[in-house]
Amino acid sequence: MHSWFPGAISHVIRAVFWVFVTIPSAMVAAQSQGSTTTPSSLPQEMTDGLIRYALETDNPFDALVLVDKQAKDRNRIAELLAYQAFGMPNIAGKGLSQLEKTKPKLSNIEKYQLGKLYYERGDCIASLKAFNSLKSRIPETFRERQVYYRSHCILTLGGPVKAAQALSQPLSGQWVASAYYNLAMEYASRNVSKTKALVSLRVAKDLNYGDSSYAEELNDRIHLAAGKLYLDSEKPTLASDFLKKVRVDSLFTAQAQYLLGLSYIQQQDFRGATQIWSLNKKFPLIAPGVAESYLGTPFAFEGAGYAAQALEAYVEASDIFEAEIETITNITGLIEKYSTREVLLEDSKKKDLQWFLKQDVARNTQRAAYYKAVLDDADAYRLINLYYELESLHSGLNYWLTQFEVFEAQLASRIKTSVKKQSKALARLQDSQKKLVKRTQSNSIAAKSASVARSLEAIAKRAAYLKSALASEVLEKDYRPELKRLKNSIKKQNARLVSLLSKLDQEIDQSAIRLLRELNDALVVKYEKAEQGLIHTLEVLAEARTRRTNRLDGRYQ
Amino acid sequence: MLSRFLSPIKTVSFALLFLLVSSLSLGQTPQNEAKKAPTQLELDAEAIKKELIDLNRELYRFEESLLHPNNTQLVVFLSLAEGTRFQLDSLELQLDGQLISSHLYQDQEITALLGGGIQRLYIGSITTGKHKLSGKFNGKGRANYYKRDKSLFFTKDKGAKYLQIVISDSPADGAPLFKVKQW
Repeated sequence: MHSWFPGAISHVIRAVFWVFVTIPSAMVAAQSQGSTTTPSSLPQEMTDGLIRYALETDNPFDALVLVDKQAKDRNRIAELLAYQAFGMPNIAGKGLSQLEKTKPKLSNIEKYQLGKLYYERGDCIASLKAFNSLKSRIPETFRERQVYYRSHCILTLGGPVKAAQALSQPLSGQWVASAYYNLAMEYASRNVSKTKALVSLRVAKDLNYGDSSYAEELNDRIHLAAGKLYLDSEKPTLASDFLKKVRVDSLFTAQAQYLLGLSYIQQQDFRGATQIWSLNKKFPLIAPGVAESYLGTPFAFEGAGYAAQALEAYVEASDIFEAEIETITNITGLIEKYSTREVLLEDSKKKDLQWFLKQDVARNTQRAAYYKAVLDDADAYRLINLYYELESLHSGLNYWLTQFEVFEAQLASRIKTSVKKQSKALARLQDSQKKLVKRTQSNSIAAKSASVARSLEAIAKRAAYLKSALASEVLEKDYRPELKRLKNSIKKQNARLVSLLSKLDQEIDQSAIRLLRELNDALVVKYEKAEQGLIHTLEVLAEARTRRTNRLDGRYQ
Repeated sequence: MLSRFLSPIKTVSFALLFLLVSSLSLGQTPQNEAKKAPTQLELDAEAIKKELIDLNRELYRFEESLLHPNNTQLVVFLSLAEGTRFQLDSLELQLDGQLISSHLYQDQEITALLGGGIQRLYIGSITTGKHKLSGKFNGKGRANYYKRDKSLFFTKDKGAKYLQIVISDSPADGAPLFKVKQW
């Protein structure tokens, strides 16, 4: 998933259930109650259902664990989808090439899955081909997604008109609403028809029902985009109406407030603009729309006729940009000293990180802003995602080691109990055997009896068995070697994971430092703008205060 | 007097404002991300992930053979019949009067079940003989909200026992219907 948040208004929703602070939890899920079970012992239908459930609930790791040799043939596409979702696109790609060569007969659901797989891999032509081969209906829940994937691909390949045709189906929900939102953004970006973009946004809003966090976020995006479009069309009143609907605790509040200020400027309400922009001061400076608000405020003061406040606002903007540049330098230094994870992503107990960081990410807005800025960068996100995937696998392996310690303790306890019981039984048996032998020796009749002889023989055999069991070979033979082998495998993989994690850590740091440099450069530009504005205002003020005669006086030229 | 020097500032500021507005433009189109060649690190990560999947498969098998051997194993599953409108909110499962599983459903899980997914609710070990499985199901039907208590008596023989609860809608009033498949 890539960052869709480069400017103030996000443009495209590619992955509908994207969460900006995602920590992958493949292994965590696998460790919990566990959705995996021994697949080979299950009926086929059941295994297939479990795989599908794991896949659709975003647990590709569980799905892959379930796809064993027996289930592989029946779940080829599901397996490839799981590989793709678990960050293994090369293995998925190889599997897909093999599949293309064999051209197997696919069920309807498999055709849908294949279309989705191609979509995830960015191959829109193949994706559309797979979706078009669907002959009969698939469950409605999949149809909504299919409409989303198809419209996205058509938008990429054929443009908005064809995409709009593909969307004209009696379906609703977040997937279809997101598709309409994307369509609106496409219309807007092509500058063909703002009306079509606005109509698409309206449809998106109507189809976006429910009160889930995603539905609310999409509504915020729709309001923000509609506000921006009306602002561009110089309809500030309509723009204000939409921008005011963006929730105050949304991801887009700062951007909406900045645009709202602009709409006030268009309405010549300079005072309103300064007021709304001053509200943006509570947000971190690097959040989109905040630095712009700082730069816009002096202009609004000038418009309102407050030259002195305009000067102060420029000074304030300049100071705050300078301070933030210093913050970025400090963060860069800290990342070089520790790591991005310690400085931005995880809790840290280190004393020199306390000034900037608090334990609670949600309340520490400055840290949260940098945290979000790093995760919004596609490269950094990919690396961080991979890091936490591997780290959760590492924790998973450690979990197994702990489990095995428990198993071993249980095994030892079972063996101990068994030995105790068997010792007593053996003692009893040996005692009985001795007594019987004595009695048979004293009684000549018994010696002639075959049945007594057989009993004696059986007792002797039983005693021999117990002796061997006493050495706990039975239990040992069953589990101990397997336990040892698996423990060795875990330790070996753990060592590899640790080495890989260390390399990834370095790459994340490089990526974060590059991003911080970019942020720094952007702030330097803004700082210079604030300084220029300040100088210009001072010049104009000075000029106004200079007597006309002086200005015309050749000595002052 | 102020109006005399407002105009030049305004000119500068409008230029500034234009820059600000254009920096917030909508102008990106939905294109697929450019495919990047995988780095060595990513290839290594894939290789290790593949091995870990295989290892985990073995580990789960081993754990199950230790904790829930085949002759004592009971597994309970849940699925929704195709086209079911009943929106399950929560469920509680009891085995012989003991709570063994409870679950609150999210949209994504319902979607997975509607798409033919099967959820494993419980895995454990029980003795052979007669047992009682009870379930409390809460959820929204076509028109009403339903709370249903259902029970099933079953006999555990030698070998693993699989129980699959299948929920569907009553064609008459949309109330949930519960069937149990025994494997």
